[in-house]
Amino acid sequence: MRRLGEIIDSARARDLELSSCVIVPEEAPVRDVLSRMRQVSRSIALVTDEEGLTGIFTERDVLRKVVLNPETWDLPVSGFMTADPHTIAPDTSVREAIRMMNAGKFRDLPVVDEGGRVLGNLTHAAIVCYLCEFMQTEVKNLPPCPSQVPQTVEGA
Amino acid sequence: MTCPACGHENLPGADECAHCLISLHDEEAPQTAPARWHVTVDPIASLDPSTIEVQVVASGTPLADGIRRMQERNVGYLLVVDERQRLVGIITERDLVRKVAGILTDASGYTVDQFMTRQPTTLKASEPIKHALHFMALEHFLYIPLVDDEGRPEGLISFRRVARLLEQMD
Repeated sequence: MRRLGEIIDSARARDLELSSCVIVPEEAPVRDVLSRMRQVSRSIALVTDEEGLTGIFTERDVLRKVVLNPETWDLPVSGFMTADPHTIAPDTSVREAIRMMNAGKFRDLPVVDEGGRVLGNLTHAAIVCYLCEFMQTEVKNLPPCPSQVPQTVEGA
Repeated sequence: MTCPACGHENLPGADECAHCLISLHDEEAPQTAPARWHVTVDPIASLDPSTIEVQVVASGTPLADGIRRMQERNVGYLLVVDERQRLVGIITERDLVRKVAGILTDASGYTVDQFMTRQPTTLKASEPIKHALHFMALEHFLYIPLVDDEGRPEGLISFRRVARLLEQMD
């Protein structure tokens, strides 16, 4: 059985299931960006210009800057995004991704290739899911409620 | 037979521990539990969840007050309790994106109850960390409230805390 530490050292971002991203231009109104995030159930939107990624608009940005301020909803998202977001390469190790998430208090890391192309978003859930694949018995097959215990040994 | 690593009582003659999966054959008997064991089986309490100041508001709290509280404390959730301090819901940033931001131009007249997730999944601090991983992986939860036997919040396990544990795995 492989050690978990070895798994997160050897796994690369591209090995995990990356989420598709909502990608919007800087001038997109906040209202439209929120609407697109809702439509596809995404917690972030990536903001781009002709050169590439310029910002990330997260649930925390929504909480801090726009939710109680309807006057912001028709303004460009670039005024409310977090500029110059941290990104990772497809071959960044999962341990390094976790380290970056902890250091920066991120829960999403956009995966960008050498050409600046966005390949997807590495989410907290993707990391936990990936590890759970290696712990089928311990984690994935758990009953929905911790107190639920089989009354008899399986297969009896 | 008793597993030397985790102490689980296995059926006589078992080849591997039904609980932690290590071999029970004498010649290769391990003798300390693997790291994955601590991640999965140690109780949530071992992560010191009680050191987090849990953000709790009363049922009926105006929505705008709840949101301002989240902004002031810089947290992504609020636990909502009834008059007997029992957990009745959780409201998160995700609820704000889905139901409030860009939709509700005037929050006055609304309470947190109308936007929270009712009777959310909870865990107890005595339960193993693996249950938190399970819900985070399958349900994409970022926060799981910890409650006592009466259902009163006494802590919270966040993805943030789990990620610090994962970073240290050997």
